[in-house]
Amino acid sequence: MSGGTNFKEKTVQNILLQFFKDEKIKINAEALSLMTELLNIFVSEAVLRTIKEAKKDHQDQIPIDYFEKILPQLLLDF
Amino acid sequence: MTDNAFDIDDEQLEIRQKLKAALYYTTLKISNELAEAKEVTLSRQVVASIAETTWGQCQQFAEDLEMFAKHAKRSTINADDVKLLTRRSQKLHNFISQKHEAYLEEKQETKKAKKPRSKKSVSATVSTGLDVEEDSNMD
Repeated sequence: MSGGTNFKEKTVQNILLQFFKDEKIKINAEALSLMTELLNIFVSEAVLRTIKEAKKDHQDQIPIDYFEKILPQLLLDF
Repeated sequence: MTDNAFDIDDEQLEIRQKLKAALYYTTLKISNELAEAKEVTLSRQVVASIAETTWGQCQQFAEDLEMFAKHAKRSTINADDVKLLTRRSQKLHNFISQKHEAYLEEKQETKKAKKPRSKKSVSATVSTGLDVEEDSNMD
C-alpha cells in the first residue's frame, strides 16, 4: 500500500499462532499473505483516519483525542 | 497451590512481549511514514494506542479464523477464512478478494517459470501487465 514499510509475514504468523487456543491449528501461505495485507491496511487506516480527523481542526501535532474519536468506527469496519 | 490462569510460563510471556514489540515497531514505522507524507506529527500515545488496538484486533482475528476453520472441519486456515473475516466491509472484502486472485496468478506464473515445458504460452502474456502493478503494491 502506501509507503514502504509493511508487516513481516513471519511476525504475523507468530502473533496469530500464539493466540490460537488449539495448537494444532495452522495457517496456509495464501491466508497468511492476506492476513499480513489486512494488518497493513488496519494500521494505515487507523493512522490516516486519525490524521484526517485532526486536519479538520487544523492540528499538526496530533494528540490522542483524535484517535479516540475514530476508534469506534474503525473497530466496526474490521 | 498453582494457579493455572496466571501461570503462563515465562518463555511464552517473553515470546509474547517480543512479538508485541515487533508489532509496535512496524506500527511506528508505518505511522511515521504516513505522518510525514501528510506533514503532521502523531503524539507517542497515538502510535502506542494504535499498536495496542492492532494487537487486540489480532487476537480477535485469530480467534475468528480459528473458529471459521473449525466450523469447516479443517485444521488449516485458508484464504476463504480470511475473506469471511472481512465480511463487514464490502470494499475491504473486494480488496482482499482481489489480492487473493493476484496471489494465485502470481503463484501460477512462478510455477510456469519453474516448469517451462508448457505447450502453449500464448495466454501467459495477457495477464502480466496487471501482475506487475499488484506486485509493487505488495512490497
